Amino acid sequence: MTGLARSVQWLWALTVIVQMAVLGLIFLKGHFRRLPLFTAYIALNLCQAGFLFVIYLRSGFHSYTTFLLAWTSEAITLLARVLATTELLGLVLRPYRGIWALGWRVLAVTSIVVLMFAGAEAGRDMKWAIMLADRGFHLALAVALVSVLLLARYYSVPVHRVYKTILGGFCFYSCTVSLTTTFSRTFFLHKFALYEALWNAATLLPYIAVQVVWALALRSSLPVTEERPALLPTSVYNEVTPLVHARLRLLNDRLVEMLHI
Amino acid sequence: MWNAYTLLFVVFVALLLGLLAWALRRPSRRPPALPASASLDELGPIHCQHFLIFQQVFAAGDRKYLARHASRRLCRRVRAERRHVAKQFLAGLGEDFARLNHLAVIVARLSPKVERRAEWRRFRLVARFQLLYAFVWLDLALGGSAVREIVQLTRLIGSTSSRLEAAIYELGKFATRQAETT
Repeated sequence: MTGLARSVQWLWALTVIVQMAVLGLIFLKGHFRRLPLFTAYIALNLCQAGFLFVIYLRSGFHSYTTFLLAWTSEAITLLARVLATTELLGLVLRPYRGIWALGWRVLAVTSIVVLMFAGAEAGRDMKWAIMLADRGFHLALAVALVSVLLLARYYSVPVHRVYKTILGGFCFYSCTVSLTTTFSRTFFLHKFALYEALWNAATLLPYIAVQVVWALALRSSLPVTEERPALLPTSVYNEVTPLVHARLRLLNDRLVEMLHI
Repeated sequence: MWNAYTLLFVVFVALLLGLLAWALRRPSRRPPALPASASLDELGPIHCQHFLIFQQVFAAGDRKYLARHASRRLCRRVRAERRHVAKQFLAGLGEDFARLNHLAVIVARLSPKVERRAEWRRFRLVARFQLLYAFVWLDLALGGSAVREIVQLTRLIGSTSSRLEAAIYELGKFATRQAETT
């Protein structure tokens, strides 16, 4: 493949192998029934690798066609990633209807805010617009994921170990992509010779690490039945919450008085 | 090579990774479930029940008597010990606060519908309490005289309103029904 260093080609091959391992485990353990969108995401990533392989062979690494098709395929996998993430978050939070309603709003608001910021930033630098938009997207995903995971922790919503690992992997990878893009841009602008090899390695290595961790986690079984906690009547929330709040507020007021603030 | 914006971005992502690690770490305690009706009393304030003893320890009469009849050294020692007791009591009040918050979290978690604003308000209240609590603790540690205020504070938490008791009672009935059906 013209334009790709040997080391990058090896890393790429390794990526395909670990992805195949993850996909194999998903089917072997029957996880695809519970996680159809996540399965589709992994399958789509493999398809993307094959697709890019063909494109690079035919059009080379630096051609405009490659650029266009590679980023189009990336946009599709990004969309699949969002769907897979939403599926997982839904599995964790949906049994708690009230918290889920809160969670998806948090997800929406944080994503929109970060995407707006990313859009504005991408618009400022047209040469790097796609890379910056990609970074913004990853950042939005990471922020949204962390926000919802914090929400789950705050409300002590139990998160199964496998789900936790997958969600953590998504977030970690998005964070590393954001950092990689930032550093790459700086290296590129300063005409650093190894810029391209570094960018490839910094993108592929965390991805491989995440896939390995996922493969290890996916060896375990998923919960057989979705936890369905018995929910309280809405009246209890409406009754208890204002009373507790009033008490908490009074406590705060007294503490302020104690300090004469 | 690195401008301020890049550094800020790196710090932000590092912070995000830190928060992720914190959110994913194993919880120190088991996820709170709806307690059995018998243990529902534990959700209300507990330490406030020792209010009378606390009040007695800090009775103004004792202080005046000591000031008149005891040596300075003894007065200082008594003051220090009182401060120590006050700090422990303040810690107890903190636990009571946490318990009330815990009750609200359980109810929110198990409610089919939660109010965004109410949840945000509680989150702010908790954050504010933590901050203020730290200040009061520091005040006591530095020899401040927040004892009178603690007495007022205790009265406040201790006076569980009848409405809250009724709500907790309803929660208990629900927990019992759930226990019977499972």
